[in-house]
Amino acid sequence: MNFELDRVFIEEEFRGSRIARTVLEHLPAGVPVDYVGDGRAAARPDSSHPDPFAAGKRRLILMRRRSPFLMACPAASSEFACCGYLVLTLASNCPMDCSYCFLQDYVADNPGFQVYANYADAFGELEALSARAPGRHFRVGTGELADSLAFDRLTGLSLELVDFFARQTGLTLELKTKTDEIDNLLTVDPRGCAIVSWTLSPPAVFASSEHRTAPPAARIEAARRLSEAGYGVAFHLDPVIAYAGAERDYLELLDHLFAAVAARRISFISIGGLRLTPGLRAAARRRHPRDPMLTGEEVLAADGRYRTFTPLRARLLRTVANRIRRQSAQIPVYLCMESAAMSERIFGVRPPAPANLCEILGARR
Amino acid sequence: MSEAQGYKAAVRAWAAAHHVPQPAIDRWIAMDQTDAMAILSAAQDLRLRTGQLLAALEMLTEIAVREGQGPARILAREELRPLLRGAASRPQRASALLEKLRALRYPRLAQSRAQLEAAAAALRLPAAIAVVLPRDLSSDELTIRLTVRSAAELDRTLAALAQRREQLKAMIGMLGGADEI
Repeated sequence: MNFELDRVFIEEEFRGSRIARTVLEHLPAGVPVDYVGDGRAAARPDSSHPDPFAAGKRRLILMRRRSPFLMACPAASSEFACCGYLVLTLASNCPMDCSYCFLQDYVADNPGFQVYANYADAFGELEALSARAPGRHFRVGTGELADSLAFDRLTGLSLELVDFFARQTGLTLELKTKTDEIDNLLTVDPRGCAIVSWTLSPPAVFASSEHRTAPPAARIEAARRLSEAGYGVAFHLDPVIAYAGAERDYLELLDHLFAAVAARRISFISIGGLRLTPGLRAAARRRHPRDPMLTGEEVLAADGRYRTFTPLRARLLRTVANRIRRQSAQIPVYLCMESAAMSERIFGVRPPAPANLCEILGARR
Repeated sequence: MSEAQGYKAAVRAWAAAHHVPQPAIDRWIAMDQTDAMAILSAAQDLRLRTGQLLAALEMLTEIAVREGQGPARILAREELRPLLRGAASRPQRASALLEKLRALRYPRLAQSRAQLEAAAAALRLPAAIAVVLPRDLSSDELTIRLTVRSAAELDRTLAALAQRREQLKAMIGMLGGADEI
């Protein structure tokens, strides 16, 4: 996939680094490149632009990450039955533009597309984590604050990540994407250490809300190819949006998925209902005023987020979960950002503790 | 003054008189002339208060996005017309209009709530027991409130509650999406 960039900024200290050379080598002709002492200024919103968040997506900044790379998932909370996912922040923001994306609020003050050139420091943090918890298994993903593969053609980072994780015993890498950008991954053997996951939505949601992403069929085809190349593949049906006809469309999507990818090759599937903080809801509606997916029957829930009113949300989540179960009871399925009580309603059993679920989801296959 | 300037001036005048916040005025003015005027006409006819206008504006905008139909056409629907021109008092019609818009904006929520309220009414609970649905059905918590003044009343109330155990379980199931929505 080709994403357009207006400008590239490279911090001076990374001039001549491997990642800078790779980016410059693959950068389309005509994109201006500036060398700056501190990339943080370039990451700030350009208030002269009518949509500073969108403008930020088109400004690639190769810069130092000045805080830890590894953190708990920002969505984790004691209110929810969580999956124990760990986030490795190698980049921030995303060239795609989904109308419901939490980044519209989360990185509104810092919207430049930042790629952290000192990413090798992250490997040290991961090794320290492994050393602190011998015998434990962790699932570590790079797709929380950015799409894991959107600029892989430009940076080639996935190759180094897979190589690093292949040498670890207690760590599984999850690359989360809405692209079909898998050419690099097909050139390396993951040796059981990497899962590639796709956020999947029905075509109606893709057309209305997921701008510049790969179509759902292309994502499924990419998953099929990678699963046959030895990668674990996983899917996030998240957000599930309760528009009219959603039930039928999500079932058709799952039919399509299971026709293409054998259930035994699927590492897990997560399901999550649409949820919007008031700030995100306002930003999303301002930026995407004509998206009908943002005008569903969401009400303010106890956790301060707008969510589809409970009976409808629960029914839709249950329909999706039952279809997956019908295909195979062996696929681990969990809910994202829902309470343990909701999880029990949907699956009939209490969810495992986060650490235990993390072990299940991160187990190498 | 052109026709376009005229309707914008009329909207601005009403909005200024009612202290409508600027972002809402901007959204209103940005609408197609027919839509903006239909809302102004409803606001004038029903003498909407500021809060009512803001709620109506937001709901009409959202219904319009979802259904691909402008506010003017929505307000012209058979089910809304009597509220705009009916015989009841203006405050009654204003309140009924907002109720109707809410039902159009949240059709499945309105339907679910009606089903649950019917189920609650069918329980024929004694006055000492109240079943309270979560606001906007935003959670799966059903609140059951008992009010008693004596030990004997407590026994009677608990017995009445126990008799309705299965219906209450069914209501909890409905809140959890077990029934048709």
